[in-house]
Amino acid sequence: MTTNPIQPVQEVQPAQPSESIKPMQSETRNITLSEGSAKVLYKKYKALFIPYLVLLLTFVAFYFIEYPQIQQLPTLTSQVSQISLTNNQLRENEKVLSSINDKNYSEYLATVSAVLPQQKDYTGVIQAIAGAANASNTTLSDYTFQVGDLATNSARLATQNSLSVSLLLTNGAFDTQHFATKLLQSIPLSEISDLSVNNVSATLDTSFFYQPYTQAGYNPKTPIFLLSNNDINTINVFKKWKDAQETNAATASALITNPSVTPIPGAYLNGGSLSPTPTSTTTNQSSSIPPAILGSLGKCSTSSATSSPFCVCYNNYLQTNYTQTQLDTFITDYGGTNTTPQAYLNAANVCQNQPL
Amino acid sequence: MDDINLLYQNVVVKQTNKTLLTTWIIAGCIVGLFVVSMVGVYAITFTLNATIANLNNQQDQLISSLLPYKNRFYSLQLIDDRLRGIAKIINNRQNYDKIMGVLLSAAPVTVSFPNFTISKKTVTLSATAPTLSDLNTYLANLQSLVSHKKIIRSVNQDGLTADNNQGQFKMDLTLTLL
Repeated sequence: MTTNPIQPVQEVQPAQPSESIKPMQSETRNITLSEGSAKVLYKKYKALFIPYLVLLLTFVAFYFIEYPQIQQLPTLTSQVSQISLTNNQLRENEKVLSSINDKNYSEYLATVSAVLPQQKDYTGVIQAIAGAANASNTTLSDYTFQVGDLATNSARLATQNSLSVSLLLTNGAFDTQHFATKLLQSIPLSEISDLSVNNVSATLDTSFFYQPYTQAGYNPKTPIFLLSNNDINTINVFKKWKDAQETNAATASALITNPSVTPIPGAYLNGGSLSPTPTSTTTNQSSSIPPAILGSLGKCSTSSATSSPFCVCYNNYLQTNYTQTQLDTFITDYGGTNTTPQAYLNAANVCQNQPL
Repeated sequence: MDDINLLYQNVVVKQTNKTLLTTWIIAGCIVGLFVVSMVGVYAITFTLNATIANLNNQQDQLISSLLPYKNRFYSLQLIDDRLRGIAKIINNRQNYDKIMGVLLSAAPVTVSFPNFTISKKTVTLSATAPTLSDLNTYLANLQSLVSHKKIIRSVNQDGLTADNNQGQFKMDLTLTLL
């Protein structure tokens, strides 16, 4: 029996890299176009050179010439539609403007300008107070203007320009309420910010509103509309207030200017004061609007204007300028410092002696 | 051998001509398309520009035809400006006369008011009457206003006094307005 001796296992040696297997190495191959190759390629493709060049030029021309034109098309189209719309608006405006009745609209403008004047309208305020006192059959014993650029005490109208006037009535609560109702239906528009009544008198802090015109130039392209029926009805209500107020104020003024008439409750303005310096609180001043002038202003604004030289002059002036605000200019021109009693006097004197 | 080469040459030439023809056709189509579109775009642009010029002329004529109405235009603008301001004031101003009217009309005829003050959101008043019943009626009427949320939010009774000399009862109230 033969035994095969167990051969020891030989350790596996790591394979040595052979000569034929070499690691990958990046190589940079330079491809050179030899003159010969170029000639061959040129000969082969020279016939295609011109059509490709034409194509290239076409694309270049498209990109630089036609593409910008195409980009402009939407702009031009929108421009056309925009101008068309503007022209339609202009035609509408022409239709609206040509249908306006000048006389009616002048009256509307005069009315709304009196309801909300563009600056402090002292005459209007005095007329409103006198008219309300007369209409409510109350006695106004004193009034004080607070001159200056004031805003109202009203929370919701805090930025609205107003002329503050304190009024003292010698009436009870019921008459005061009646006076307040009439005052709020007077023009210029007003608001009562404080009201206090005791047994013998009532104090009202009032604000008479004014508002400078909004600066808007002439732009015929702005859409304009005729006044609606609602607007016209509102203006007509103001017109009624205005007429009633002028009638009442004229009655009150007549009593003031004619001392022989016994003052009756409701039509008696017993003084008042003007403070020309801008202050938040004022006290009664010794200077006051002369009753004769006050009365003249009241009469002159009514339709039945008297033939006094002052009224003739004053009404002529108003007719040529149309707006109540011109009164202040008139007084400034002829009387010196605006709104002072002396200015009213000077204006009256000049007007009487030198009719316009 | 020469014949075979000649045949090969003919095939190559035909192939080349075919490629060239195809390329020219494609190039021609593209160039034609370009030219047509260019003409179209220029035609549209020209038409639009002409339309704009025409519309601008119309606009100038319309504007000049509106010139005689300039005063009416201003008039309308001013009226509109005033109406806006008036609407703002009327919608926002405090109507103390109405408040006062409601509070006074709520009182029986025998009640009088020796003191009545309205300021901001508060009304303070003194009401006098020959009987307590009248004052009670007035107070009930005010409470009714509060419950119906009309004008006043709350009523505070500050005092109640009797004046034997004048035979009057006096009630002090503070009302908070809505």
